[in-house]
Amino acid sequence: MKPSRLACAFLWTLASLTLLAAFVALDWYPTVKELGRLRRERSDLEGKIKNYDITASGFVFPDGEEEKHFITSRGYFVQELPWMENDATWLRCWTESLRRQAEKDSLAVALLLFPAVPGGEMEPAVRLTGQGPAPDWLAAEMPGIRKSLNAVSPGCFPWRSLFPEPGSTLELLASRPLAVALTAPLPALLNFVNHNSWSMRLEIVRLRLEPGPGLSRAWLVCRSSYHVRAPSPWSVPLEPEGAGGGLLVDPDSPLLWQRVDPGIAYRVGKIELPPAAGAAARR
Amino acid sequence: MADKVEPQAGKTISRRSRPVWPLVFFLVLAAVSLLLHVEKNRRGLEVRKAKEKFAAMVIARPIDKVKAERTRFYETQYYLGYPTSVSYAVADLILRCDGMVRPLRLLGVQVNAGLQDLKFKLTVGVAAAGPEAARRKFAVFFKQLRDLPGVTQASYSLSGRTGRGDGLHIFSVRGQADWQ
Repeated sequence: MKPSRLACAFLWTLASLTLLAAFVALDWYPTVKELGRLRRERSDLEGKIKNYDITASGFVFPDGEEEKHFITSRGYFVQELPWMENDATWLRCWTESLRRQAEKDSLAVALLLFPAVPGGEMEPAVRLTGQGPAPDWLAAEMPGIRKSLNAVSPGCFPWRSLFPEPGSTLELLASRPLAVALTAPLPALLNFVNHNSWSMRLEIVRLRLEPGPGLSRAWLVCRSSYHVRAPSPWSVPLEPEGAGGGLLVDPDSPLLWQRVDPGIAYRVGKIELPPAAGAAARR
Repeated sequence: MADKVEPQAGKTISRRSRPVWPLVFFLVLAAVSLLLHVEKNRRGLEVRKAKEKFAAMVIARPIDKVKAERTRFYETQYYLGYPTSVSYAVADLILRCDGMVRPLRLLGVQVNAGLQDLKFKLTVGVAAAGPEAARRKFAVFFKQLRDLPGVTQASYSLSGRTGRGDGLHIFSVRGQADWQ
């Protein structure tokens, strides 16, 4: 074989190998990789379809009755919080509501206490019932009351997950703490504690009570929530402070596989305290 | 003939046949590529069909959506019932404690209401000659407290004695109650 022919054959072989390498590197390898990915994706999807089928066969889907429960629940939810023009309206509403209740429960003294702005100074106390100056024990309790009021900031609103995303009513939601200082016989005082949320939504956050032989004294810090049309320093911020703290429902709970039963759903209405309250009053 | 130039081992090789084998080689490579792409398209189609099938199943039988709706229902019921329930639970807890504390004295109560439970702190005064006698008297109340329905945790400590003439031994009780 002539050397020129040998060189020519070598060059052809080199060129062929280069071509083969180019095919492998630029086309075959990516394609085979893609084929593997598609195979995995297909088997994943097949697995998901199979699992979904099995899951769906054990899942109870809603009927008309359950849809009605959902609609009713949404209706109650929408009506739960009152709409206020501004924070002054809030004060009027809650003052009136608490005053009516304090008079109804025959409290000796009831004062409404609240800060002007979050973390700020206290506004002058509003007398709900009773006469005369503020009870002398109140001054000693003020640091505790203020600390508790500051802890109920709008940023720690625990029901945030129930309100839909920004752009809806969450932007108009306000959460404002208030404190009520009370002096009354223990049964009357406990009746007020029980009744205070019956007419306006008021969530007790902390209560401190000192029973006495005649009159007991107490203060309770509550969270009030409302929708407000005017800008308010008590607006619930769109970004929550800290993480967690809200409601947690286990997504794997077997309860969610069955149709909702309003009997199971926890909702206590307005219930009077047991008659022991009367017995306590006589003691 | 003009194109028959080089006889080799009794054969003649055509000049035109020389570039044929690289072409064949290239065609083989291209054919393999083509087959691979055909297979890729076939699998892509299968994946697309599987995706469509899964999406159709989710739309036809929306498990997650229903679960979310049920979760929201229970959360909403909880939210709606919370204020009255927690008010009742706080008042009821104090009422029960006050009802069973005698002959001891309930000096103070603090209740912190959480979303799921109540944390409480009771200050109880016990009139007794010495700490041991006070502890025995207090133990009766403490047992009753622990047996209260809903009370999940309770612990106590003897925190001192009032300096006044009544000489009460002061016990602090910390506990937790499930308000549901």
